[in-house]
Amino acid sequence: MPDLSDRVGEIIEASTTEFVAQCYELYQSPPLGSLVKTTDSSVELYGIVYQATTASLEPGRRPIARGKDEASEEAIYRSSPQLLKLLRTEFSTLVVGYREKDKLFRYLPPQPARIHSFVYLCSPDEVKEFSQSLSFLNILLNTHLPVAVEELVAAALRQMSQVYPDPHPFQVAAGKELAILLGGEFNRLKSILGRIKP
Amino acid sequence: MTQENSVRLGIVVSGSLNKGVEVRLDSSASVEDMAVGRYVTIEGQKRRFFGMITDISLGVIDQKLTLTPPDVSDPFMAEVLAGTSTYGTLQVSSYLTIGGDAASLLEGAQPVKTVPSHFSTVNLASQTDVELVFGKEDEKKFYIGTPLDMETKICLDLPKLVERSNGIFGKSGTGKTFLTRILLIGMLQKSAAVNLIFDMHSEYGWAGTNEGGRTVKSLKQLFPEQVAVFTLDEENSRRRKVSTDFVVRIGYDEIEPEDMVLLRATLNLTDLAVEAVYQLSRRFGKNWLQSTLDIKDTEELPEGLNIHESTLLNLQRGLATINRLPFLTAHPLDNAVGRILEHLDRGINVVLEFGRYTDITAYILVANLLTRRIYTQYRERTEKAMGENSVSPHPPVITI
Repeated sequence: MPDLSDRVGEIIEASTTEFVAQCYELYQSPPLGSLVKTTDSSVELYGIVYQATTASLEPGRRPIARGKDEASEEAIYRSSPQLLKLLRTEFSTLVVGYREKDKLFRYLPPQPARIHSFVYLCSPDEVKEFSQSLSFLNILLNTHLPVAVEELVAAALRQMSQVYPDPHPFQVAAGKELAILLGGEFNRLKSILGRIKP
Repeated sequence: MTQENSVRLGIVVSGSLNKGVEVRLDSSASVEDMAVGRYVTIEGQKRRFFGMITDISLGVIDQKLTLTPPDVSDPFMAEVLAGTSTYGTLQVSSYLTIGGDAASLLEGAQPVKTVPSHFSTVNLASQTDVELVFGKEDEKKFYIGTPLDMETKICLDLPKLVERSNGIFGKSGTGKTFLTRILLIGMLQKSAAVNLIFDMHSEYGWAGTNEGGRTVKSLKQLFPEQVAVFTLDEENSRRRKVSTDFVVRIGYDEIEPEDMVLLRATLNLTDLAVEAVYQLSRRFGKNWLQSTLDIKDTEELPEGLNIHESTLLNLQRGLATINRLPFLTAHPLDNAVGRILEHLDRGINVVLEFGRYTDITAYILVANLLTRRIYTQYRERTEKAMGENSVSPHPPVITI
């Protein structure tokens, strides 16, 4: 059973290709591009965080500016403690693979995640295992997302390379995989490579 | 059939039997480590191919890369692009195949009749591969050198080599003369044939020079018993302090009409002039050259010869060029052509030095004169030997 401290949220919306989870604490979403997982009975789903939003609980009720007479930003939250309950942070995750019966697959699972499943941040060992094969990059590159794909791919690879003591071989291998996948699109490749290793 | 300790270079991506196969280099193999002339093996599905790198080129996936080159000062970028977006390709000509089963292994290498299938692995040929193809040094096989970056001895079957016409080609400074000298030494050592060497630059007889200007020993110094040096230019040989066995002087009467045919282009003779040579030679006999030069006017032409004045002038101009060659004399003391043939007959190799006469007229004239006579004589002997079932004469090798 995953560690409770790695629990980052709970699924509130799910489809085959992605799921949206709400964070338990405001502003505590996992970093962009990080690998998260959720357990659905016998299947573990892996996803990459592609977007996080913080908005009002009620869609029709927008927050108003409150800081006119406050000295600092923290003071706003101190004087209006209800804010923490009226706002919520959500993050959206792209499903990139799943594990069934101890076997890891880097493609879409047969079933989407269930609502109210818990979402955990993957441990360094899991990230290492998942990044042994870079075939998931294909899913990232071929999905239409509100964020630029180049940004997401670079963020994901930056996050993954952190678990390696020497990230260089991993970064080069990923770069080569991208060079093959992007084939004739040298400018896209260049912008991703520039973001992996600034 | 994978070879241990072989270095993987890449995979076959396209090709044809005629043009050779194209090999895409792995990103781990640097294009700068490759060299034209290196031997490679291609592991096909059923057989192995033995070939040589004939060309090396660079390729890019996206033409934009050539228009806006990436920032190669970034080592990460350079490392990623190497072997993926940018890659090296080799052109490999496969020459031989070695079958996969035991029977064909015993048979040895066979000429290539097909190309390896797509994406066959290409390795650098190992020592064992090269040995399998070229064999080991023995009575007939002569060790001529090693492949690039390899210790393996490459051996040539000299008796087989001299049966065929061979050419040594290369850019200047790549060692054509040196290789020729090594081959000649090999032929002498293994007594594979008797050589007649037309030595235009006087480098095979006594001593030659290497690229650095250092003098190296040549045939006469190495095999004094088996080599005779003939010279067309005695003075030149004397100045170079080279001992010559014979000074060649060619008599006018030894030049035959057939020799003029080959000089047609060099001497700028017309077709009619060449035709006239035959007529003149029929009329004047052996001494036709001198007699033709002595004719002052068409009116002096003997009866029955139909030669136009301009043709005669054209011919005389050409003959005068030959006449000016100092080694041509009206009355030579000895028959040089006969002497050379006699030496060759005894199994003694002849180096014919040209000395200062390195212009093409002298070369073509002398080379053709001798070659044609040797060939005629050799053919007669061989035919005779075939008829009498006796030993065929030493095969002569002519080196130009």
